[in-house]
Amino acid sequence: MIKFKIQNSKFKILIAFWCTVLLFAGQVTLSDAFAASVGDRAPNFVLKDMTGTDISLYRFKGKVVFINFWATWCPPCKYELRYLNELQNKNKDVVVLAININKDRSDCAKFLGKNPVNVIILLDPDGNTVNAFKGKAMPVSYILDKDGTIRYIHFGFNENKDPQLWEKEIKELNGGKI
Amino acid sequence: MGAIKLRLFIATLIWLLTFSLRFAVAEDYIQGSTYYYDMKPNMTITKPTFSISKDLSINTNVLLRFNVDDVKIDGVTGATTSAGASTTVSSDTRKEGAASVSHTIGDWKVEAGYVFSSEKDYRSSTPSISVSRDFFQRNTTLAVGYSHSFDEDLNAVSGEKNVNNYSASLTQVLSPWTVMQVGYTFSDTNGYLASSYRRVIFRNGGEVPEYVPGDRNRDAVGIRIAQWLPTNGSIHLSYRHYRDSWKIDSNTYQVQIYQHLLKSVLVRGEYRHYSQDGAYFYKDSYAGTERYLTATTSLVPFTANLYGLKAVYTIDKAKLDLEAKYEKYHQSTGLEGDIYMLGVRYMF
Amino acid sequence: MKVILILLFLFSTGCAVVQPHQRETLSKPIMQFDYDKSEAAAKEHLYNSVEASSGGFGVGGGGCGCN
Repeated sequence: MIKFKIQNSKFKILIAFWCTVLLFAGQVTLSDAFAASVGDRAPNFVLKDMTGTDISLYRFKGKVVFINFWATWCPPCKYELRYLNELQNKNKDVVVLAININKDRSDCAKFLGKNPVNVIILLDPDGNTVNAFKGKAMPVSYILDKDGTIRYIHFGFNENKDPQLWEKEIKELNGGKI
Repeated sequence: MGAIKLRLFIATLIWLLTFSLRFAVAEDYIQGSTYYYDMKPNMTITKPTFSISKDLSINTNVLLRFNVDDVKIDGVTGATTSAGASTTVSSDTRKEGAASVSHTIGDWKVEAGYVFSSEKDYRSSTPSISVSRDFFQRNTTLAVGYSHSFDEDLNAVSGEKNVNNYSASLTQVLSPWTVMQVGYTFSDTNGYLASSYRRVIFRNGGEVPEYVPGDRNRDAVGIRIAQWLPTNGSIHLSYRHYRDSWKIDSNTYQVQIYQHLLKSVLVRGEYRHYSQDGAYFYKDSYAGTERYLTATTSLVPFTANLYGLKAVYTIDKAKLDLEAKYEKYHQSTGLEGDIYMLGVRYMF
Repeated sequence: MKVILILLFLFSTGCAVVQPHQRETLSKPIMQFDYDKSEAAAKEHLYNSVEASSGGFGVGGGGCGCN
């Protein structure tokens, strides 16, 4: 009887442990379920640019939009910005929005002061917009078609593959035109 | 051989300094520091160090480090027990160089390293490799590593020593403000493990070179945690338990507190407590009939405390960090040390 | 057994994933273990010279977790 009780309490501990694991694993599943995916309409946002002007995503309807989330504390993000700059220079009718998620705006301003780019920089210090997209990497990029639907997602940055892939995908969304 | 390694090191350094990425992201740095150890009763060490970290690409990093230990000993050192000990070394210079290359492929990271050091009568060479993988959106990192040390005491007749080191660690992000690491290391050593300079004096007179077992297995498990503080600082806590086949058992507790006083001024306070048992063959005095005899002071039972304060001043426009540190180390054996450090780090 | 269960439980809380965009604090130098590798090497050399113990910790993990 005593042996059974001891085994019973060990069994309860094991059950409690696996319930906890499943509970947290469930959180992973839930958060993935709400992530913006290919085929979804991109969530709208209104963010300030570096001059303090409000910019809304829906203002760019009718154009292919390249949304990139980056931060100065993310080395591959900073490295990727140069390639986004080149992408914008080569594709004038595409809108490149580089959304910075630093909590402190001055960190972004300091970095851009030394490394200027000509893409549109938007500020998301509270993280509400990046949270709405729930990207599973940093950096993360979303390419939207002219209706605002997400067509391609890029997690991370691969210097050898991504710049060519972006060109190909944007050309496809622009109806074969660059 | 040492001269060739030094030239290779300097050539690599010059190449790294002239190599640049197209788009600077200021993750690279050059760092120079000088340490001064005032170890009582009678030893001082001046230790200039130099290191450089450079990203060769977005996925590849090189780290080079070089330092010199200029050791001066005044009079007799060694065991402070009645067994006594003596050394004939009054000064020595130890040079150490280290290089490592790391490369990231997706969730995997491989790092290969090499450390060499040489003194008047001691050489050491240690190649190493480690592999780590990230899981769960990089919230969990598992790493394993291996290194082999080829050491030689040139003063001894058969002074080779070989060490295999194995390590494993698991790092877990617990929250946006907390990270924890658990680690385990194991090493097996065989060869000449004594010091060719140390002599054991018998209680009835006479002395012999110390003689210790020719092998030693060691393992240690450690846990540490870093927690962000809302005062714009952080606290690091760590604990390590160690034991070896010489029956030495030790515990190490450490706490470090980082605090930004201003955006450009960071201070760190540190406290470390260490306690160990002695080696099973350690004795206060030897009759001469014992199989193993040692005069090595680090094998006796003792406790030690370290208190430290470090300050870093950042000059943003010049991309410079200026550092200064003071530490006080005290062992119950009587060994004491005041440690001073001045350094500068330049980010580019 | 207890220790294993506690450690497994602690690590299972990691399944409550910290999103990549939430890692700004973790990327700060004062949140890294052994951020200053040169200082860490100097300390390790001092302790290995005057104490009998060594080892205990591995490498990597934490930080920005960027891709």
